[in-house]
Amino acid sequence: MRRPSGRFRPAVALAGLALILNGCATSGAIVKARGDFRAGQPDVALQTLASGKVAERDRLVALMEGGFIAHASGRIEDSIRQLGQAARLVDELDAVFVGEQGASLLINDRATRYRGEYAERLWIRTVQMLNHLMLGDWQGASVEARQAIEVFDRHGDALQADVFTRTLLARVLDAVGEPDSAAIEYARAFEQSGGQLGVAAFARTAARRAGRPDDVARYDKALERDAEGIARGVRTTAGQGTLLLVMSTGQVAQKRAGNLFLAPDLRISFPYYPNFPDSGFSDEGRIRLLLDGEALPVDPVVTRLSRVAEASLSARARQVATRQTLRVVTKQGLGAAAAKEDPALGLLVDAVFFLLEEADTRSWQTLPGRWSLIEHAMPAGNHRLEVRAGRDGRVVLDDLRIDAGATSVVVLTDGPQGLVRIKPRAAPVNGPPTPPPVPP
Amino acid sequence: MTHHRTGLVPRPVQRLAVAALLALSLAGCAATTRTLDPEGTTNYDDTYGFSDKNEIVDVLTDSLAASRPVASAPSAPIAVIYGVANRTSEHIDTSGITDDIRNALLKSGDLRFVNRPQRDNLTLEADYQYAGFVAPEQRVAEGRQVGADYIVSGTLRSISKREPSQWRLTKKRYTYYSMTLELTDLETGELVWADSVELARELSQPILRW
Repeated sequence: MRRPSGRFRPAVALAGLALILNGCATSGAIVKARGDFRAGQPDVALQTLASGKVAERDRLVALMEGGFIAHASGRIEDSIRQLGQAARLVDELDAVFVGEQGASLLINDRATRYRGEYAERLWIRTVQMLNHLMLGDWQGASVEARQAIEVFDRHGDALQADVFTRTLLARVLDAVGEPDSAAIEYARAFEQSGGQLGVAAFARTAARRAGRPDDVARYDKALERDAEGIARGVRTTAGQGTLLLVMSTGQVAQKRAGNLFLAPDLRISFPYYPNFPDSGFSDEGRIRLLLDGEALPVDPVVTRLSRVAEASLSARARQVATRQTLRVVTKQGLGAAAAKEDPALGLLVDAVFFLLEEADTRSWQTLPGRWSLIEHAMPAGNHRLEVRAGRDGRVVLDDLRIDAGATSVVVLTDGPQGLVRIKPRAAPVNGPPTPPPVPP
Repeated sequence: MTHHRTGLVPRPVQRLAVAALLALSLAGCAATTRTLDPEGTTNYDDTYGFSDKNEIVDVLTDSLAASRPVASAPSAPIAVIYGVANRTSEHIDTSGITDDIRNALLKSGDLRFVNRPQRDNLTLEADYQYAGFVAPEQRVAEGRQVGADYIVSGTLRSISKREPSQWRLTKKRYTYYSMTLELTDLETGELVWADSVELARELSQPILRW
């Protein structure tokens, strides 16, 4: 092989640099943190993310993973902080970064800073709503609800299947005295759920408060099928409070890399979601509640996150395809130009670019596979609540306290030993150390 | 025969130019601080800031002080603050607004206030005094707290709109804030005064960045 001429040294150098830079799989700290979290060690996972090296292009992924791990382990303030940073980063990255686009034409989309799928931008707000609710801060939750509405308005078509978030934000707005906004969002959730009884049960009260008789009539019609008394279970009477139960179960699907061979030496790699059921610790099945031994009629509002994630990715299909095409054309052009100089050099450049073609499969992987929402009126006082989900999922809350006229929010999540309740814990992982107990 | 590249710029000058560029860029990396005037107007983006709070407080304090229930009262009426509901899309601590309004009106003597957030502590302290820890002549007399004549409450709202997607070099977003404050007669339930302040700001950001 002749030495590359001066004109093609830059191309060879670029190809070599690109190959080196592409030892750039998702930052190791993030991969380890996910593993630690799934092994039931969330504190270790958070330490790994805090102290490990995370590439700038993966910073959003690290913040989202850290935010959810902190949420699931009860470090709510830490979760609020991390997801707040994630939301600000999404906003900052809402631009075209010329330098990155140039790099992605030569390497692949992993060379650019991850901006989050539309669904992930929404779920930052969903988890934040849950965080604020667990702290009893309904005002804070309403701020996140309004931000979630903005995301729905911007990318609504891709996010239609997320009835859980829509219903939750409507419930929050209703609680802070915005029945009109709540009624509108409930109506959308009801439509997107295909007329689900559980949503109708939530929505009817808000529709009455907002003075929307047409909506009330629509829900009444749907509730004619309510043989079990689900709607009656949501309405409170004097001396009663409300339980708002959220369950995060299973594990969201991960993106995979698919390959399309346009020619033996020409490959396009693209991200996609495989079509298989979510994996997880608890098998999906009917959710049952027993309050002090008595079964409660419920119709959970459920969203399968993988479905929404898939729709969200599909909404970007055209952008992804355009960029892939430009990349192929650019690489082909450089390869052909190198081959004119020296056929062996051309082969080398083509080989390097072939190897570099890799789909961007980065995503928020610690999210659950399903979010379920249940509301039920209960007498004020202390209760024993048993929650069963599917074959194996079971948790008993012996200390469930319901106050008259108030709403108690309980969030359950999958752990290595099954369903557990998320209870807010005091200090963040990197906060000041807990002082030792004062000796008697 | 060897070829030497002849450039237009001599090598020493090239090195000097690179060094100068490096020095210039590093100089821009030094951290600096400066003191701002809290009464001045400083906005880095279109979100709520201390300049907005100051404008809101100034307008509403003057308006409330000049309102008929307050200005025509023979002595300064007593109010209790029930807070400002945050109906915006930002986490804003609205107690900062009511605290500043309360402080300004207290200083001017136009209104007196019941310290509602301290009620539990007042009860706690009184219980302590009457539990035998404080000499009888030094205990506070019970049942002597003042009753409020009015409730002060309000709402902070916002509307935010982005420019529609289209071919352009900048993207714009405007945010509109509306702060409404009310005075309600505690005895009759009548809304005796209300006023509002509106603010609007536009943020323009480049779409193409490096």
